[in-house]
Amino acid sequence: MNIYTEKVIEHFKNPRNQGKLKDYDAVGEKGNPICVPPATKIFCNSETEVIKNLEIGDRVLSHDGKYHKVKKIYKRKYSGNLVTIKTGLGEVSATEDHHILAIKIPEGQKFYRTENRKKLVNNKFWYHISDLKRRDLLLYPILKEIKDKKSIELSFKKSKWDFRSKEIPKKINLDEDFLRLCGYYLSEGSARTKTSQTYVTLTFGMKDKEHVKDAAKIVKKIFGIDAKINYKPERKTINVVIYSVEVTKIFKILFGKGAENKRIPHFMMILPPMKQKGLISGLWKGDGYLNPKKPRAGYATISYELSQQIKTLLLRQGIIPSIYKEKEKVLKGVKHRKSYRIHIGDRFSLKKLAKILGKTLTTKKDSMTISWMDENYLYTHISKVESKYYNGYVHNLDVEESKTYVTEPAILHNCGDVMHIYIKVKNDRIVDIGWETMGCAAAIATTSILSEMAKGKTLDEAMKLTRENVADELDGLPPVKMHCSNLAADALHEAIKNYREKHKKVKSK
Amino acid sequence: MIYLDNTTTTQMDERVLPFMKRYQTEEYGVAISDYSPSFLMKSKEALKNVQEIIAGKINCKPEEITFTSGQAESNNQVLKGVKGHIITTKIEHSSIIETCKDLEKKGYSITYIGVDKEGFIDLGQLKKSLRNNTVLVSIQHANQEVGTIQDIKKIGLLCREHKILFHVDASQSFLKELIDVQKMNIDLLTLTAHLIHGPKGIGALYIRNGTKLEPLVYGTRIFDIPGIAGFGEAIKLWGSKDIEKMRSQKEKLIKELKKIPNTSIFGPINNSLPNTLFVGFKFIEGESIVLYLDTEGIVLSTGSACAGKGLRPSHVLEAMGYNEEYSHGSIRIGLSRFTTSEEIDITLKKIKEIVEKLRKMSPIKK
Repeated sequence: MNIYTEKVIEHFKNPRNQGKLKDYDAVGEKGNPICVPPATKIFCNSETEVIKNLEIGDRVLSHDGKYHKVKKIYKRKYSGNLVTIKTGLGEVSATEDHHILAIKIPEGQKFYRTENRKKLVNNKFWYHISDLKRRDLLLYPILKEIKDKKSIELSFKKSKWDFRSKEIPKKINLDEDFLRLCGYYLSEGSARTKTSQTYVTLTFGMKDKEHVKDAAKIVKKIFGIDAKINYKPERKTINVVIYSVEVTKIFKILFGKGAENKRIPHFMMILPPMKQKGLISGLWKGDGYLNPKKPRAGYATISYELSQQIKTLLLRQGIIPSIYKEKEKVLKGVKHRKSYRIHIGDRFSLKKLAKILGKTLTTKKDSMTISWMDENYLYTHISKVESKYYNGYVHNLDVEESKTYVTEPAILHNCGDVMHIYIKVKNDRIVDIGWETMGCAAAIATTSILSEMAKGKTLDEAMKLTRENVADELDGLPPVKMHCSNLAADALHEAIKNYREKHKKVKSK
Repeated sequence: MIYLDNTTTTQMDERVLPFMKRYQTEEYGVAISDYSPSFLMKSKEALKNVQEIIAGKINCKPEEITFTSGQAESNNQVLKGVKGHIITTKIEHSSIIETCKDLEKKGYSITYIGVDKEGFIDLGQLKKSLRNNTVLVSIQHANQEVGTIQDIKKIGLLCREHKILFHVDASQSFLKELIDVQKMNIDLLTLTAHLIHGPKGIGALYIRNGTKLEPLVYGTRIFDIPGIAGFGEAIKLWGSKDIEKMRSQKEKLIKELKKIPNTSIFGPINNSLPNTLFVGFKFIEGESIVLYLDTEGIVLSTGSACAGKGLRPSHVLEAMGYNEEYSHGSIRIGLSRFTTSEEIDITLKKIKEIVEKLRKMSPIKK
């Protein structure tokens, strides 16, 4: 292969110092793993969890729309640039050489049109996050897991002090009606659990008489309870109140405590999409709107979790949402909390949503489509790319089978060269060095020659060795290989840092 | 040197050269019309002769054979010669895929049929993809990387029922697999000489009588008569024993390579070309294997190459649903008529050596 110098080939064929040291003092591990800041939210069993709290065995969403087990968790210190990418679905930050599933849009006016962009779907590829720019497309998976559940069983003992509540059925059918009631609750409901004041309130607007009726009817049908309907003209609301300890408990267990923490349970998220239409319908009739004239639709909630779950539900219906964060603000003297607004503007999506809500679009006006989806992915364009210096811990996951995991707007992948460098230190000098690597000839040769260069040097001297020094010593490397295959110097620095950290601790003891 | 990159190209048989020389330096004239002087008419005879040879191999009329500069030109001629919806597969040669991408940019619609884990196309998807304006179905006979042989007869029948032109790229399979354009209902067939120990830069295109194609090149063409003559001679030199030999060599390779743990063979065992083998070794990188074998005098290529900043698996493996983990450490072995059993033994020994050596270096071994 002519792209390599003789020296590279020589080191590749006869690598020096290869192998793991038996009694090493420190090890430096390097590769091009995905690393993201600790607060990055990862989709895990239908909810999001910040990456630093994930554990081995947790099941995270992957590019195939299915959940896979976390096999390994990594954490390391990092100082350098973090790239942040924003789309209509949210944002993600990661170290520069992370692989992210994307489509690069070629230059030129031709690709301003969505129809032409759609032709590029076969070009999807794992790009380094730093290679992406505004207008490029990110892929987002559609949740594929489906598990039907016909009913839920209840096993509550009646509380001693509960004299008022009626008995409710031990089994509730998970039908469209019940799911719509769940939607109402997620949007408008609150549960109160003070002793002897345990009840569920659904708060509707004065105009929503139809929904009030519907909710009361479902409560009667499922629980056999007559809900109380309270008109509160001073607050401009109509309240549907269900006085039942058991019903209150059910809603609390299913959907979490407090409006900010509302969320949909996992089993409901993986119900067949047909059934989930009921849930969406209830949600939308509560906190959502659909303007058939404009046309546009939206939904607002103060629960982050719920906003992300609604995104997943909508995608399963073939509806394309985008999410905006609205900051805390005071409007007309009323304090509004931080909220998440889901917006739907695409005509095909609106048609589908209108059908679920039993409405029809009354305008033929077309809306601009910049995102689209097929059976596997949603394609959204990048609205912003930023690069910022970061100093702190970064995290990474190794996921079984799929090797990928999903953040707010994107699918991340971990692959690349993996390199371990082991050092033995005496009097601040590297007396022995060993290494392991999986990689191309350049990766092997750079590590081999670096091990020769570092052996015998003091730690300070070794810290000064750079990627460029290594490449020069090999009489040069092809440019393609400078970035991803020349990691040996970085791994050595990592090993020295680890050694010093360990040593510091011993000293301070 | 041990040359095992025969799916990319082959060594020309030395016995072909005298024929080419004859039409290059002795009978070099080219006849434009039938009323040319007899010296010039010798070129016509040569051309006709090779047309007959090819026609005999694929069961068509000699005049249905035209000559091109090879696989890429033949494929380009077919795709650009029609106007309308085209159906092809995700695992075609780049001269199909890239041309289709260009056609898409020009506004034509193309459907790419997916394949299963062994590389066989999804006939159901093919049926569903047929439209009123579909003008052409273009599907390779055998795959250039994994060797999968498609059920051309079935596809041909389907196309005939729907009265759609059927093009087959048989560059890899010609002479290695039986082709009968009548039985298989093939309307257009791509052939190339350099993969059967013929000269480089010469190919043929079978066009069924009555098929309308917009020409790619206009005007009088001075055909590469020496190349055509070489093509004909290369076909004549091919024998059925050669295929049996390659098949047994391939079987031996599979048997021995499978003994190395964490090794996978891509593509089917049956219904596969006798000379093509695509094998992946986990935990190591293909480039390293190829480079090491290169220094040992063994020539073959890898299944994934460093493209820009990332390692990208071949589009064939990607379509078959393999992810990077498998395709990273993959190599392609292409056998030829000249490959000896001794060479196979040496190659096996060296592959085992390097896989073991690289795995020892790799931190991910389990």
